[in-house]
Amino acid sequence: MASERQQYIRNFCIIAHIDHGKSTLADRLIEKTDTVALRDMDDQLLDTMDLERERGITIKAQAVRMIYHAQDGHDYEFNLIDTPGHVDFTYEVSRSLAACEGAVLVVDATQGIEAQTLANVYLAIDHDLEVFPVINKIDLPSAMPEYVRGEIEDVIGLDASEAPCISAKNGVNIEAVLEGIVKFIPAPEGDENAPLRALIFDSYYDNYKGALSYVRIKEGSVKAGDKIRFMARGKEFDVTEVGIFAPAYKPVQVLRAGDVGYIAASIKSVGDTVAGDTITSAANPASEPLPGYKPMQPMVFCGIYPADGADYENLRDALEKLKLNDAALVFDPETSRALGFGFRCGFLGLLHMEVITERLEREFDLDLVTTSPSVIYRVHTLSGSVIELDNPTNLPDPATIDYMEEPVVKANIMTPKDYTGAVMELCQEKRGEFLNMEYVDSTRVNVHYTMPLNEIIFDFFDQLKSRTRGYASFDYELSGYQKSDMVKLDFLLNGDICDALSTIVHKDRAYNKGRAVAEKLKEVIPRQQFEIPVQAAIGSKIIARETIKPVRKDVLAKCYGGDITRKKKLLEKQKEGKKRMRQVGSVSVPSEAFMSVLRIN
Amino acid sequence: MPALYLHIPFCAKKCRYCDFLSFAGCAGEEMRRYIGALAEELALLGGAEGHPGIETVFFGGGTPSLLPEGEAARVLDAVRRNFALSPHAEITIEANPGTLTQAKLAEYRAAGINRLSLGVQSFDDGVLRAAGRIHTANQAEEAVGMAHAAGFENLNADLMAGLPGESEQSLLRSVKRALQLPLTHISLYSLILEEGTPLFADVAAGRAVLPDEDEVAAGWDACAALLQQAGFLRYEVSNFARPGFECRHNLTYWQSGDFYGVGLGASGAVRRGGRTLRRRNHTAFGPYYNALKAGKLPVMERSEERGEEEAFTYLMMALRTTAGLEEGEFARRFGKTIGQMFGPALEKNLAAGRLKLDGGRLALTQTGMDFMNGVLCDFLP
Repeated sequence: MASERQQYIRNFCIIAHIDHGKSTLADRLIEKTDTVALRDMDDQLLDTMDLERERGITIKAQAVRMIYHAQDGHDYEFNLIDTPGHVDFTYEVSRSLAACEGAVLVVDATQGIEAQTLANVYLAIDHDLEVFPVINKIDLPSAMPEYVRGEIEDVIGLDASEAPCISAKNGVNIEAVLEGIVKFIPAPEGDENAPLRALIFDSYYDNYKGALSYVRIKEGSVKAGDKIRFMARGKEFDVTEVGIFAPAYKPVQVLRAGDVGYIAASIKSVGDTVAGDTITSAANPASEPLPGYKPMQPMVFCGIYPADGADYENLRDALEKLKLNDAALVFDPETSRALGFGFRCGFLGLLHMEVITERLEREFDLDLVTTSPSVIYRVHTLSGSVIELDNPTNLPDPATIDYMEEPVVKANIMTPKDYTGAVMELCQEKRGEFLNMEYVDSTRVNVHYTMPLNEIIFDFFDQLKSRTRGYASFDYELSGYQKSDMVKLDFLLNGDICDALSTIVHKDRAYNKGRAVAEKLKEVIPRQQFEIPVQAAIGSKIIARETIKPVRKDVLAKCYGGDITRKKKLLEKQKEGKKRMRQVGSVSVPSEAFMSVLRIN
Repeated sequence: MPALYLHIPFCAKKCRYCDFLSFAGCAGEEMRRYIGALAEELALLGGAEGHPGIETVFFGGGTPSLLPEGEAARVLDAVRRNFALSPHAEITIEANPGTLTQAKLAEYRAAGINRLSLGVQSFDDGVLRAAGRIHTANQAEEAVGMAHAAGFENLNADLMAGLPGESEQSLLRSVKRALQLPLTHISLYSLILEEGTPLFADVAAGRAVLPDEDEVAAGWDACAALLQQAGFLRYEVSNFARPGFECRHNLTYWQSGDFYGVGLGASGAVRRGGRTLRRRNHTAFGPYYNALKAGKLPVMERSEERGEEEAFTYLMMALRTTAGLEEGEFARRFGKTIGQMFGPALEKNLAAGRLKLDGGRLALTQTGMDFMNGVLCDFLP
């Protein structure tokens, strides 16, 4: 039973497919409750990173507290916990959900339900959340609110009879959403006098306060001066401040069961405040931690190197800074003969990788070279040991390998039925194994495939979008490993293996890929003073060959009379280009060349 | 003694590959006005510099031979009034074969011009047309004959490798035909495709196709061999001359001698007090005329080079010549030896066979000449 105080608290998140208007709705709620003065409103307040705003996606979970004066005359405290919308960030969604009693489900009235919507709704239902559907974008001429209402009922099985039709963009019917939150989302429960149990759903490094734990208090209470213990690791800290998200950090006296807020305790590293862990009182500890969630596992790995070797230390600093707020990012130093010193980095998925590399380049002004992304393969050797391989370069001698396994995912693709053929063709091309398919309604189908992860981390999503004119949506979850005929494909420049280009591919793919990459390399490596054979090889077997002809001259025919500045600028440009070259044996390879072969699949 | 460059920014028509500062379609009146301004600039500069001696004069363009009759002589009068022009001065004028007349040639001779540089580019009419040249191969041949008949014994023809429509064979034919003419100097340039030119746009749009760069390089090398056999010695990257007919004006640039630049967009450089002072004139007519009207030199920008920067420029220019540079001269100029200033770059390129040291002279080897940019990048401070 909710206490008298708890009755006026609502903790919820908003779930939606990308572009269905989640952040816009969040902004309207904040605006309607006067949480932020209108003049301080920036579009999409919760997406604080430039990158989030540009891509229209949420990467980090964020929280904000609002006070809503409801029609029943009471003031309600709303805690909105924002969730990322992309499949790569499912773990963040899961964390956020665990801190809530309910979820507002936003469905686009012009698009209807999509794969992502389903995935997130099921996740919410798994967490015992009450789901309150809302139909958005009714201002658009192509909106079909009643059709979508039926879809929510038929496809998801939710009662949508009271789902408000709104336009978050134009601020239409937002009041109905606020009232619905009061009405449909349950109040939190939990004994305020029990020993403290606070669930960490995120952490953030603040330059002044140290690593902050973003928490949902499930039981008990916490205030400044308390000694707390992180149950997973047993480390103890003294609380210096507790507070709420107003949305700026606002200290309060105490956080009690049902509240959402932050705890500051002069914690040096976010590594000590891991999401999913339970905080309890050191003096009066709880006997059991709250159920945590699965720690996230990086699934995609690649090497990240500075384009200019002199930037190695800067790259390390930048990665460490990003790591402060992104526990999912892992990195270890590695060296490549071609690229020198860099880092092996692990990501949740390709989007996560792109986000990180883009942030490194933008926020830290670094020029990077990234190597071909790889998944983790399991290599079973003849001696019976199993190697988890995240870097193709480390593949043992094939003669010692018994067999290899690759990670596979269960892919769920929702598409208009006219594109079913195109979708299935794509999945077959990507070595998918058909599981089953069902009609969502009379016009759309849900197709299920088992697919190798390494086939979808490249261009699968782009291909899917282009072959279905953007109509299909896609979601996947890791479903284990399967035995597979994988080979290591090497590329040789003038006889020397370029380790940064080595990649593990399915045997049937090796020829096409080898040929395509060799052709690309011929195009992007500038001619040098000698002939360069470019070869693709599996072991000692050459499967493709191109030749870069030697350059005959590199001299400026004419010096423009007295105007030497032009000539000098040209040389400076040429020298700058040389600095960005990597040496592979005798061959100079521009940093860009490594990037340009990444996308070839 | 310094050199003097005079820029004549007029052409009958712009060639498609050209990105020099020059304008087509100007009437005689405009050219006369410009020459008037040029004379004023010469007076101002001569006065400011204390009427220095001048060893070479070069009318460059543009197309100086496009000037109405009498104008070139008028400019040289102004030069003589304001500078101490050496009686042995080399005085060159650039000419387009399509603009030369016997009257003009006679005027040049009378004014003391003793070297004529003809923009021939090719003896293939198709190539000339495609490049937007205003003359034919025959006209070029006639122009050489006319100039020779008018008394020009020091005659240069510019040829160009790599123009659209040209093959290794047509380039060789052009050089062979040039060798039958009474020339003392041949410049054999390779086309540089410059951004902003019509040709650049044509190539980008696929309307023009440049010959394969390997073929151009092979053709150029074959032509160079032919020229050497015929007694034209390569003394600079792109320049060949019969012994004694090297262009003294251009050698001044390559040896980092002092030179004045007069006219629209012209550059000058003089060495004073252990550093090189550079300046460049306004590149637009308005500010150029206005400055002169106000009695000021029409300088748009000034810069100063010293230390390694200056030494690098010295190397960059000197290494263009086959004679290279004298180590002692370098040390006297900069107070340090080349080794002290550019040790690693020097050693690397000597070891790689791109540079050679011979009797106190540092020069590029034959291969080094082909890959000069790479060598210079190593020296770039």
